[in-house]
Amino acid sequence: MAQSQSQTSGSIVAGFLAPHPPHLVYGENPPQNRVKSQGGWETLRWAYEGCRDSIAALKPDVILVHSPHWTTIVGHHFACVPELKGRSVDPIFPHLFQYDFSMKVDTELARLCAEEGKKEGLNTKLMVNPRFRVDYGTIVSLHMLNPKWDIPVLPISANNSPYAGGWEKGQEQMVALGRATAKAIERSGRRAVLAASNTLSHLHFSQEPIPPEDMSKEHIQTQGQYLWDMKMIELMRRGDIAGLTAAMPQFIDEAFAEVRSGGLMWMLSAMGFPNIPAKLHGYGTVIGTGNAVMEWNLDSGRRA
Amino acid sequence: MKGRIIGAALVPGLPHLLSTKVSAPWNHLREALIALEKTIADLKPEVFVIYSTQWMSVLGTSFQSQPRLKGIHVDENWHEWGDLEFDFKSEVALSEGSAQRVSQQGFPTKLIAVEEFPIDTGTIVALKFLNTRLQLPVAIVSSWVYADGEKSRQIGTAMAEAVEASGKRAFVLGISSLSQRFFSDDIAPESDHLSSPEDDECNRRILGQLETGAVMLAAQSAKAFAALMPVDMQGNALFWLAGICGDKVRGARVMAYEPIWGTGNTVTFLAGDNT
Repeated sequence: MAQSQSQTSGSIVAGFLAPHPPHLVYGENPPQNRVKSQGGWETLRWAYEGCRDSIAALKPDVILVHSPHWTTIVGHHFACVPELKGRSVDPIFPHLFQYDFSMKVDTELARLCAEEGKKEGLNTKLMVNPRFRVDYGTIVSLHMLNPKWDIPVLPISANNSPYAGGWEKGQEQMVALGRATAKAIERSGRRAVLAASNTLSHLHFSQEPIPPEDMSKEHIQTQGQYLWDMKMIELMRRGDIAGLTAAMPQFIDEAFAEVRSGGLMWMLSAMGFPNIPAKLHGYGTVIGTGNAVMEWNLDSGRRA
Repeated sequence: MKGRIIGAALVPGLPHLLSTKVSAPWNHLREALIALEKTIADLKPEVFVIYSTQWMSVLGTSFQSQPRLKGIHVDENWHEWGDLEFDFKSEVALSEGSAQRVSQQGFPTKLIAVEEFPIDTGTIVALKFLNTRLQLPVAIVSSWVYADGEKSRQIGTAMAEAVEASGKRAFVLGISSLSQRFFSDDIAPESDHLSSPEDDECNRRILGQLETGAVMLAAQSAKAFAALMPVDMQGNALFWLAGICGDKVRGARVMAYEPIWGTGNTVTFLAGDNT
């Protein structure tokens, strides 16, 4: 871990839209997951292989992940325990995801993020309970991006409360949280990768096939969801961030999009809303939801 | 011998009640839960049947069927208040019977038998107060996110049939808040209060309807209020209670009604013919 890099200015080298259906880990059959499959959801899993190659080339010091399944009511929370270990069972799909996790947390960066968040007027908190069970959204995104777990991480919660004041209020907070994260990374001297742990359209089927990995039953739940997903992906591929953010409220309403939880807005803000084309590593559906694995490589953008 | 529901209650499931923080409203709820536990003990139940809004499911309704549930849970928001230890047994046969009957109604169901399954905060908090001494087995059902009030009621009705078939004396718990408008900032626990007068008014109307025994009417009110303000799972716990209790509720005793971090919470005992 880069604990003493504060002499040099840190930077965000890449951001990933990193959806977290537990099916992806289940389909891969890593040793950490107690339940095994015949495979499935290969197009998404292979998409993540492209991300793994990018991350290996970027050599980041830390991966920060914002997960909608670590929901907080009071404030934006940052994991701040040097090592988190345990078994995470997905409460929704427990038959697919029973994962023994072990992760090193960048606690110094967690403190800096909390500090910079307060300067932005946000309520921020550090999670220091070593028995905290990390949520499956955080774990799936991190596993799919870096299954070796050899890069320190920083899990960030999704604070639901600002949305009580409307979507705009919630997203304003995520923009501020993104600015705070960028400043903290700069102060830390780290080379950081960000991950927004979000599915796009997010209506599930209420029943699953037997076995769950029967791909003959897998498809998007509605054509409307598919059209929305394609529209949003195309905006990202074109680097039209203004168009993307403008379309988001309607997308969230009509496709029940998981980006409502703020991870994508946080990441875009931290990256300075970059008008560069995002790379689509792959798109696929999982139990009816739409998932895109995408990358904004700021490091190559800076070199170009 | 036929099983039967010998009593029911609507109770809160927020971790504040297990914290050491001093707060008159929280303390009132704690005292009411302690009193409810005595009432339940007098009824001599053999099993708790539980619906918690904090156990949410997507693939239809889930039923807990792991024989023993033991572990440490840390609340995802109030993690600084420490660990919630739990250790209780499942009434597996009743869970299986419930799943079977709910399936027969045309609803998707799932039996959950997984070690280290993350039991929700609500269930743990309620059972800490109500089952530490009694040590009864529990049959826990999830709150299906795609179920509206009517489906939740039908699920409750099907589970009543399962209780009857089980031959057990069951006490039923709906674990849910009423209004669910949390304060989004830190507050002093001793100064806790309802987030808005409108929330308070709606909560009191629901409680008034419960006191007359009109559980279904209270559920419908909660659903109507949910269009105007945040209500815990749109009142689905009340619909479920209406379904599982059927027409047996004669009245209710509101043992406490207090805020927790701005939300509305009650300990309300629903009384039947024999209670």
